Amino acid sequence: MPYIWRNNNACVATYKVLEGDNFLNEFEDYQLPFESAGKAQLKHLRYFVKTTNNAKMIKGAAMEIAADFLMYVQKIYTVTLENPVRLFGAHPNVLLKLANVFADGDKTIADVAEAIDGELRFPDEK
Amino acid sequence: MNKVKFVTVPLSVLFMSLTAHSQDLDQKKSLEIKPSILEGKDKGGSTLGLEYQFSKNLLRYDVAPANPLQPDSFKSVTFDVAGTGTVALNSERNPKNFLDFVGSIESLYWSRNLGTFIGSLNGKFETDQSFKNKQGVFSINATFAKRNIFVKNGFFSVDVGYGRVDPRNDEARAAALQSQKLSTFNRWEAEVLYLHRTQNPTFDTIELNYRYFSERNAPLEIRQAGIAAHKLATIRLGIKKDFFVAYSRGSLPFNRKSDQIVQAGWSYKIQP
Repeated sequence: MPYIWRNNNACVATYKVLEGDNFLNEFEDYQLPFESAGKAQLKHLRYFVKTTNNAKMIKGAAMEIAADFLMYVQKIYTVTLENPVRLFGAHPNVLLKLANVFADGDKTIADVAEAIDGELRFPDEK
Repeated sequence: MNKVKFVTVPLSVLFMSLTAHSQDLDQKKSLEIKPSILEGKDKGGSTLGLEYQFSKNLLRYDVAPANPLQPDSFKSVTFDVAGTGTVALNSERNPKNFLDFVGSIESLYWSRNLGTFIGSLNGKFETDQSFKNKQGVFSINATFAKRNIFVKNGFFSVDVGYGRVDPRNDEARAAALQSQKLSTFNRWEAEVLYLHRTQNPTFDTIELNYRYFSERNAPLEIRQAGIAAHKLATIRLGIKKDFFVAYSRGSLPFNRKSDQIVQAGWSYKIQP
């Protein structure tokens, strides 16, 4: 079942971090209001490089923006890990989950929200 | 002064991209086919083209960060396959007549302070859309990527590779050497990309890309034929209201002509 873009902490944090001038500034709110932002594909955002198909460069760009995104989300909300320890004691890799989404231009802003909602527990989930 | 020879108008606003991808975030698999019109001004008329791109991750091993919420570094090793290219109904009018299919083993290291480093071993098959020209390339590459460089949210990346090329059927090379038996050669390749974020009221992004291929110790005949090195420079201006303008000059391997390409149009309609 596809993730529903709605007015919860995960979607609001995703929108604020991607849109905010003090954060990632990937689009303007008049171009993309919150209500319809979930359907927008990531390849249309400013971070997504458009003059190359070099998969390694795209992967590098995704790692870098994923790290910034994760940092900025925690400036808006205090979050904890949904599942702190995985099988055989492994740590969840939130950064990699986000990077895999940001590297795929066909993913949507709602997919970014889904990725952090699955990994992070927001105040409205406690 | 060279004349502008090609105008490419992407039709992504008119055609739906055909896309299929996995829902599993860790097992990325995607296929994209994007129709476009390729117009050769000096060759009378336009032709329909398709840009394709696919990628699939077959294997990965990660060392997850000790602090998942505030990671400082991250390492992974992966095995991926991917391919890109543009095909046209009339290959003579295809300004990007270059297809590649790649398999690679990568080691990635990310550091919050230093950026992203990727080392890779690659096997690549290159051809044009007629498959008359084709070659295999085995290379080792090093890639660096860093965000927030020069300006906030700006992005810089460089990819340098050195490889051995097996030109199985390269018509221009055979003609230059006057031989159908083509021997392998070594080649440098490099790509530099910079994405600048502006506060300009008209432009919001400026993207610069430069690709360079150079045959090492190329024979005199190859140098005289002008196919020992290939360069392609592109500048793309992202304009407010979803417009863009892009200009490319140069050529890629198998695309022997020295072309200038102008692309203009809507890159997207951001509001779905």
